[in-house]
Formats: sequence, C-alpha cells, structure tokens
Amino acid sequence: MQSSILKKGQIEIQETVFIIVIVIVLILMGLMFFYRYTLASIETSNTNYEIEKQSDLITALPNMAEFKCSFLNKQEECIDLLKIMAFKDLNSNLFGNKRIVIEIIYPEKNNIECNYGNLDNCNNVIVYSKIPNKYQRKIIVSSPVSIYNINSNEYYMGKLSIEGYYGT
Amino acid sequence: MALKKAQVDLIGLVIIVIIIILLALFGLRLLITQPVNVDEKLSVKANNLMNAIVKVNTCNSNIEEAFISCCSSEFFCGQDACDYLSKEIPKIIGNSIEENYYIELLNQNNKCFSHGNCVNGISSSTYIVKNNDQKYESRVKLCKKS
Repeated sequence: MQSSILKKGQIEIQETVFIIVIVIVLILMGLMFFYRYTLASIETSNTNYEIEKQSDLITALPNMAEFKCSFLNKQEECIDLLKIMAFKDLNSNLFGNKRIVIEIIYPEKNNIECNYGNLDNCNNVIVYSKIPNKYQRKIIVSSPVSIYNINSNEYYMGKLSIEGYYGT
Repeated sequence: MALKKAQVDLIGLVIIVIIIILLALFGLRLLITQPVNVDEKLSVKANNLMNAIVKVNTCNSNIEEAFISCCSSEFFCGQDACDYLSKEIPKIIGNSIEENYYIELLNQNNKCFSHGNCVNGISSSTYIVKNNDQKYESRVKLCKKS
C-alpha cells in the first residue's frame, strides 16, 4: 500500500517536472522568436529611416543653391549642369557615404562622363562619390529632374540617383 | 486532498490564460504595426517628372510647344504633333522612372493626347500650358510596378 502511494507520488513528480520542462522550453522558444522579431523589426525601421532620409535628400538636393538654376536671381525648377560641375570640383564631404549621379536620359547622348569641355555630348555626371570599402546595405533612390545646359541653352530630361551605403 | 488538486488545476488554468493573453497581445501588435502606405514620394516624383517633361528641348523647340501643336492638330518637327509625341514620350519618360506611367493632355476637358498604362496611380499636379486664349492641361500618373 505504502509503496503504491510512493510510486504514485513519483509519477506525479515526474509529470510535474515534465510539464515544467515543456513550459520552460516553450517560454525560451517564445523569447527567441520575440528577440528575432524585435531585431528584424529594428532593422526594418532602420532601413525605412535610411530610405526616408535619402528620399528627403533627393527632394532637397535639386533645390540647393549649389545645383538649382537661377536666371537674374529668379529661381527655376531645374538643375544647372555647370553648377554641378563646379560642385563636383569642390570634392566636398557633405553627404557622407553616398554616390550621387545625374544621368541625361533625353536627348540620347554618348555614354561619356561630363567635363567642362564636353557638356553638349556627355550623358552622366558623378556629382559626389564616397563609397566605403565595407558596407552591409546599399539603398538606391532616384527621381526625374530637368537639367539645364547653359552652353547650348537647352533643357534635358535627367535622372538623379542617390546610392546610400550603410552598415559600415 | 481535493482542495489541493483544485488549486493545482487552477494554477494550470491561470498559466494557460496568461499564455493566451500574451499571444493575443503579440498578434495585436503585429496587426497594429502594419505600415501605412501613403505614397508621398510617388507624388513628388510625378510632379518632378511633369515639370521636367514640359521643359525638354526637342527638334529646336520644346515639348510644351509639341503639346500645343498636338491639341491644335498641327504639325511638329515635320509630322503630326500627336504622332511625334507618341514616339518621343516613351523615350523621355521610359528610362527616367521605374514605375508605369500614364500621361494625358487635355483641352477644355477634351483629351488631345494620352500615353501609357497606369490606371490607379498617384497623379501629379495639373500643369497648365497657355497659348493665346487657349488653356491646355497636362498631368502624369505613376503606378508602382507589381
């Protein structure tokens, strides 16, 4: 009789231990899942923030005095090709780890990088380039822009692209 | 003995209820934090595109003049202005954006010209072209590629 009660007690203890182990495993799995989810969520927020920042830059950049067309102090919605060349010469560190390129889409031109001597026949300007040796993510944001070439007094259809390098 | 068993059962029940509540809260958080997709960027892009298109120089003139000629059923660059636009607009827009587009040109609500395949998209502001007493409206719509 006494041994039967002991055996029953042992079985109950075993059951309790078993349930505790299962509960602990479930909690650990839940915590791991939550940790991974939170980590992924933080990374997504970070990426979204970086995209947002780049989108703000792509809106702000054509409106900077260093790029924007102006005629007798009257500003116009376009990018001055000559101003871009001047800015390029500055070799500034203004935008951090980014590469900013302006392509001339229309009219179609030779695939040559612009310099002061070939503004009428080139099709791209690397306005700014600072690419780190190591990076985890590259985000590209682009927008159409109007480009003005003072040499020929012509407007071109262009594409402004900003490549951001993150996780250096 | 019976009381003790009931207590143990009650604790088990409480644990299960807590786990369910935690799961429900987690699920609720997932549901609530769905990103709201208000695409302001596409609107800015559409406005930039519209502004850039009308200024583009082509055939010793510009697209704005081609718009006016198209609505007036005139020739532009030695051919029907609307035919010219149909050929040149894809070249102008095609490589400058990644999205699908739809561009239309209206003269007093009559459509003079349209091009592209985007139905439910984000539209640019209306760009008004004035020529003598005539007023032409043009706008571009952008749709994200699925």
